[in-house]
Amino acid sequence: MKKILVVDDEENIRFLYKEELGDEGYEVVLASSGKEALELLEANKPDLITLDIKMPEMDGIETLKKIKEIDKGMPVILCTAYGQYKQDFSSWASDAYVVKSADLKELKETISKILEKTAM
Amino acid sequence: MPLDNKKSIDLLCSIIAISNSNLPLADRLNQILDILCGSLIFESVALYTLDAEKERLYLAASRNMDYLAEIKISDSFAEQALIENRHIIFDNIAAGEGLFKDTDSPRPAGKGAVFPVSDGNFSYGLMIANLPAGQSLNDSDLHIIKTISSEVAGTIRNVQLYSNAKKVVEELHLINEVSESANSSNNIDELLQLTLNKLIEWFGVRCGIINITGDNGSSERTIFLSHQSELAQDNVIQHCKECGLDIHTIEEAVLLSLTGLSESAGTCPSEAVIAAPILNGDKRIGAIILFGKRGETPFTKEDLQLLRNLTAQVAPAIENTVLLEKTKVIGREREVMVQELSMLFDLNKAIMTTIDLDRLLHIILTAVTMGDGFGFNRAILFLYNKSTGYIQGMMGVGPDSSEAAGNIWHDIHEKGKTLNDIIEDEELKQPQSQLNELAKGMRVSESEKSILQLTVKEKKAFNISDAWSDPRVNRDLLTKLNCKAFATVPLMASGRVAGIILVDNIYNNRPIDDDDIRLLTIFANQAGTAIENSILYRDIQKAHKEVKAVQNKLIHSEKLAALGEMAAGIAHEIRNPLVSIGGFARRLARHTGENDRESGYVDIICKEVERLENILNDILVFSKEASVESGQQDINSLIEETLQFFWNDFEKCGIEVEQALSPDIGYVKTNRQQLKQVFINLFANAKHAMENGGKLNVKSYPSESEDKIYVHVDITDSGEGIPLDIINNIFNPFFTTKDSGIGLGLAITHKIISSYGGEIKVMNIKDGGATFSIRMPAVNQDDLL
Repeated sequence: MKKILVVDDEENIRFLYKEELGDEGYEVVLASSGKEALELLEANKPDLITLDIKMPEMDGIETLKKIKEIDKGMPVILCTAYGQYKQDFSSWASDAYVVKSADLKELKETISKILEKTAM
Repeated sequence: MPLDNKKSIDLLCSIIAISNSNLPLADRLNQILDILCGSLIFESVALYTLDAEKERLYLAASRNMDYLAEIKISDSFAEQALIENRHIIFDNIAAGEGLFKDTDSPRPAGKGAVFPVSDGNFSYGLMIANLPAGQSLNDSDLHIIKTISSEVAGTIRNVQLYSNAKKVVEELHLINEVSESANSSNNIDELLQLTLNKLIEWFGVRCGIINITGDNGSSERTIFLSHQSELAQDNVIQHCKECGLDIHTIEEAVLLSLTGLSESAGTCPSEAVIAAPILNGDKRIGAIILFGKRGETPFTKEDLQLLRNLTAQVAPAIENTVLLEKTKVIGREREVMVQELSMLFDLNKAIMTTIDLDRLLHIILTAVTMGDGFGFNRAILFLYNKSTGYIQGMMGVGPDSSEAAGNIWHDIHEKGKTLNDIIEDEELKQPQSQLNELAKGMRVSESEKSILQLTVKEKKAFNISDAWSDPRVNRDLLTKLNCKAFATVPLMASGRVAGIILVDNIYNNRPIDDDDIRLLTIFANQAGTAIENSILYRDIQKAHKEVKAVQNKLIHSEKLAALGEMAAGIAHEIRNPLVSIGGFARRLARHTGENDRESGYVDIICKEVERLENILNDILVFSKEASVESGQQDINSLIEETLQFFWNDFEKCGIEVEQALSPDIGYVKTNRQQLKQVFINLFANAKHAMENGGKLNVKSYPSESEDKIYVHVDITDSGEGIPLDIINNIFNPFFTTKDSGIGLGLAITHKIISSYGGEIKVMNIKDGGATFSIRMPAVNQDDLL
């Protein structure tokens, strides 16, 4: 069973992702901040991380950089309400970029695509 | 016959009585000669008086014989008698050669005698006599005759003294009169006439001419006075000139005898002429000729001296009067100048009162047409457009008909309206008249032959007095103006022609003179500047309005942008809760049965969230920056453009740049800004690698593989090369170390090149340095089409 680390400061979003991705058959680990995510990263060894960008203290971009320093090959999907981050070149270092939506279809498809790629 | 004592005493008594009488000199002399003959001392006798030059003797009186009228003193006994002051007795009168007339008739017998008429100091003349035949003179006789001679000398001397004194008094009187009249008048012509009249009377001539030389400021003038109508000024002057006496060149006082001048041709006695220059000190200011004295008594040397004195008296007065007249003329000129200047000042002040072009033009044209301005009947103002070459009528001021003109002028006169009143009229804008409509309809292109274009071209005024026959004036203009004479004056502003004023006097036909043109030209220079300022002001105002409009637009768009930003901010905040609501609603929808009532409710929630999310997306798209657009880019120009940013830096670091850009490479399809960012990053990297100088080589070339065309760019530095431990991670965004100096830039570069289907590689060079190689697909020829 693939393990997904969901990083988001909004509790309800974490809850929604846990339920939805759980229904998809993934093991879901939750982190409410960039710092917690980095702590959980070592212990849990997730297969993929979804990362919110706008978070207090350490934002998603910084967290992304730190994650890549620890594990260059770790697939990361940036999930955000902010379309404009697409223009920020540093976010290109992530493997995908998904604008948050109530319809989680795009997110689920992106996750399965990346996991398929890394499995190969 | 010797006289006894008594007879001698009687004789002397009678002669003394006659000498002391009041009779005229000639009568007295005649009576004395009568007594001398009657007393039988002389058979005949004559008295001669000596002229002033003591050269000739003139017969004053004679008795009983025909004596010579005139005796030359030299070479005769007369000289001997006068110089030695003694009598000479001749045995007969023939022996007294030169003293008596030669005659064919038998000469009288008897001795001849000559006695000096002397008072002991001066000789006044001679007494010449013929003694009765057979008689001689004893000492007693001689003594008596000598006494009588000295008595006669006394008489002559007295009379001469008296007449000389009288003459001197008269001359003084004349000089006084002339001086008085000379100083009594300030009018030069009157002064000259008075003086000349006096001189004509005094010298008793037929006519006189005074000529005063003109010099700078005063004109030459000639006064001619004649008491005889047949003598005309020009004739006399011409006649004198032909006889060698030119009134314009007389330098010395002269006495001349000229051929007589008479209107009726034929014999004409010669006439005496006296002439003199009029000298004030050494300065010759003119000359005088007194012409035509006929008869026995011509001018004397004393007359000449008198004329000299008189002219010297009159000269200062003439000079003063001429100066005074000159001063008056200058004064009048100054007065006119002051008037003109004050008018120009007023007008100038008036045109400075406004910056509104219509109003300004109206003020200018009013000034040109008002009575207390230039007083032209009509005036039209044209503006010249330098860039198009067109001359456009702007405004016309003036009455439409002579009746209207009369009414307007009458009206102005009645109300006492001045230029200032009219200028202060607030309503002064475009005048309502046919002339104004006519003026505004006039337009002359550069190619048309027109007096207006000529005025612009030659930058000078034209005064056309006979418009219909003047080849410079085109018919079209004349038909519109319908006037015989007019003038055009250029309106000058900073040495360029801004326009033209055209004026005419169609109603009162007053000729336009040089003074009009001169003044109008001065005014036109000021008016031209004012017009240019006004036009500049108008342009600035227009530009200002445009700037204002653009500014308003900008403010509007800024407001929109701010609104968009705010909307985006709100949208972001709303999105997270919406994701939760919608996400859970979808979960609910999946867990409710299709037939449950709740299923419909949840569906509504889901749909409404979807709708809200769509609205949010729209807002975010709206507020997003302009999307990244791709186009065909010429990579060489982009490289050169980017290199320019670095020239200074490269120079500072001592980096030499070598370019080898192939012109044959095709285009690449990218966003220009992003591609530029690529080169900025690579050049910045190169600079960082060669901070102590080096060589940068930039090369572009095409290549072809598997039917695809590529564009290559190699950028090579001569730095130390890239450390082996990072060369494999150099494009990894999070692998960068500050020590290596390789920033995020190369990662971004990599992303950009990859996103357009290109590749970027890096390799170290053997001798140090590194090469970054870019390969990008060239745009297909098909795509180009």
